[in-house]
Amino acid sequence: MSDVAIELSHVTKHFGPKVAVNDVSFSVQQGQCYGLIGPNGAGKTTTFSMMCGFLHPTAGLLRIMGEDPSKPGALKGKVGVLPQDAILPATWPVGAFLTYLGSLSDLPRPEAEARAVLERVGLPEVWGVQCGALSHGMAKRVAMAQALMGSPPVVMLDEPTAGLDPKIAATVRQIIRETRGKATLVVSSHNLQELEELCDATAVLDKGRLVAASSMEEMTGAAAEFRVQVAKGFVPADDVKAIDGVVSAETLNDGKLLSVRFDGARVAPEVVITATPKLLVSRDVLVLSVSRGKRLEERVLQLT
Amino acid sequence: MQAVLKEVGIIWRGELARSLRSGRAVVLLLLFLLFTSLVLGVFALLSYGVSTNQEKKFDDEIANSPYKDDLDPKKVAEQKAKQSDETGSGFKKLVINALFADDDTALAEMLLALPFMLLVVFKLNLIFLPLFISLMGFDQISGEMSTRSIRYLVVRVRRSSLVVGKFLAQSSVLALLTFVAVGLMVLVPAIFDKKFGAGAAFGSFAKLWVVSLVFSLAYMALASMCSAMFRQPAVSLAVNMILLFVIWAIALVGNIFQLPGHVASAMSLSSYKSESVVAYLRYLSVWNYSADLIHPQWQRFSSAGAAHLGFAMIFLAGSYLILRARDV
Repeated sequence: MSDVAIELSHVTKHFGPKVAVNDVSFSVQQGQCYGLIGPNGAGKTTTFSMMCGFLHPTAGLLRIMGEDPSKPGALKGKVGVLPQDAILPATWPVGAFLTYLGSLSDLPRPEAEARAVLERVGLPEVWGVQCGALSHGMAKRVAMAQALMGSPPVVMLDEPTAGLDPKIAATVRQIIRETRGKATLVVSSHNLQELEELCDATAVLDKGRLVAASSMEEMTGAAAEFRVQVAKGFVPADDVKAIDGVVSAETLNDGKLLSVRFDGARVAPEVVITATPKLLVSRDVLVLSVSRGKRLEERVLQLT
Repeated sequence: MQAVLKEVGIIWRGELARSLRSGRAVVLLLLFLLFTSLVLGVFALLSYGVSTNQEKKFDDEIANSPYKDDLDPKKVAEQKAKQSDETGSGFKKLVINALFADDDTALAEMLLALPFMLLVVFKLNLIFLPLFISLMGFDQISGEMSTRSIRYLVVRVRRSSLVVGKFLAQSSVLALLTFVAVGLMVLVPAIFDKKFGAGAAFGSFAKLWVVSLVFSLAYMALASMCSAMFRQPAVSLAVNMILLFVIWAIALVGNIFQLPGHVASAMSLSSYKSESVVAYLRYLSVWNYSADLIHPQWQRFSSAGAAHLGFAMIFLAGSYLILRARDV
């Protein structure tokens, strides 16, 4: 069996005269956590929806675990999906709805599976509550639960943390982290920091076209950045700039923050990141912390 | 095949439970019963009016008769009852021949055996049943597409199973509703009409309930097709209503004319119609076959049933093909 879990080849989608996705090709390896990135209207959700079989491509080839998603019943038991804007049916109690979906997925013990997955998303108490009575955060987690039910080999999540408060978003991210390695994950999101933290590889879309697709290392390597928070002392920015590989160094917040950009493709990050505080300490600067910068965000801004 | 049947079964059970839980079925039942009661009430009032008028006329004739003092009151009462029966029977024959059994003696005889009240109320209910069905099922698919909750399902099941499962669930709810409504229709005359015994009432109930179900199949499938066509439930409902009107209009236009070469009996309604090929249009409308669903001859009943089933299959296939081809 091929190691490729998801394959898109020259996929195009038209909505009337509008071209939403134009000749997009990329593949996702089995077990990978893959990010779909792009600004609003880039075609992320359209691409995602075609991968789930919700939308039919106008042209091109799409394979999920070797199956054409538009083929009847092709994704049954193979894919768990968290659609972005699908509302849970208001009159169904959560437990009954999840059990129903479990039965439709041919799970051997749908009710037990539904209870287990609700426990996993931290909502065992909503079993008897009607879906229409759930808060936004709860509904999102119930939707997440149905995607994870039965541990499908491919899990696709469209904007899993959108509109959630930081605490619940952290819970959802933790669930994604736990699922990594157990299934092939596709996460579409605007939250680039989140994707940088979670994903092994990513595709960047802009105006319906694929502008980049590579591993996260490759994607962020060219736009390497780190920040040094300073407690006390004068930061010699020009001396930092002289360190091998550093492209720019600038002080922010009245000299309390040093932002350093370097050529990650030429010099290993650990070499530059170690050399910079070393220099600062030698000049009697007291360092509070060193953190990697928003590398993916920088890269995506360059690309789109 | 077994997997498909299993899917259909799960969807049918789930959707049925959802319909019953939502309370919509109860509201629809109340609406249907209100309508049935209204028709029963209006019919009872009209019958009472005709009968009272007839009795008053008879009483006036007796009062004005020069021999009134010589008449035997017992015989006068018997005569009054007999005349009332004859008038009622004549009116019934006229209505049945003109509206329900034009040029068909076998059907007319069978209809005459039913209590008139039951016949009229049942026929009126059949006229409004397609509207009721469209109100019941217009959002079965479009409602899920408008909220996109259908996405939780299509990733797990075949779209064909979804169409069939929902159709069966809607049919089950309708079977339940018509069971109660037809039961009420039969119960009222069974209480008030002494000639309509328990055996006849039960037989009529079973027959009329089956007729209601067979009659409903095509309209249920039409509602499913309209629901699969559009994302907005309101548009599905509007198109469903328009198509119902088209179905009725085609049958009406086809029945204004006589089929070429058809010989109608003298004094029947058909004898007043002119021959035209336009009359063949009637066969394109499922409404045209509904009269034969209560026909006493097995062949006529089964061909009408087959026609309804055929239309149901066409609309259901349309529903599936539309849902399969469309984005959700």
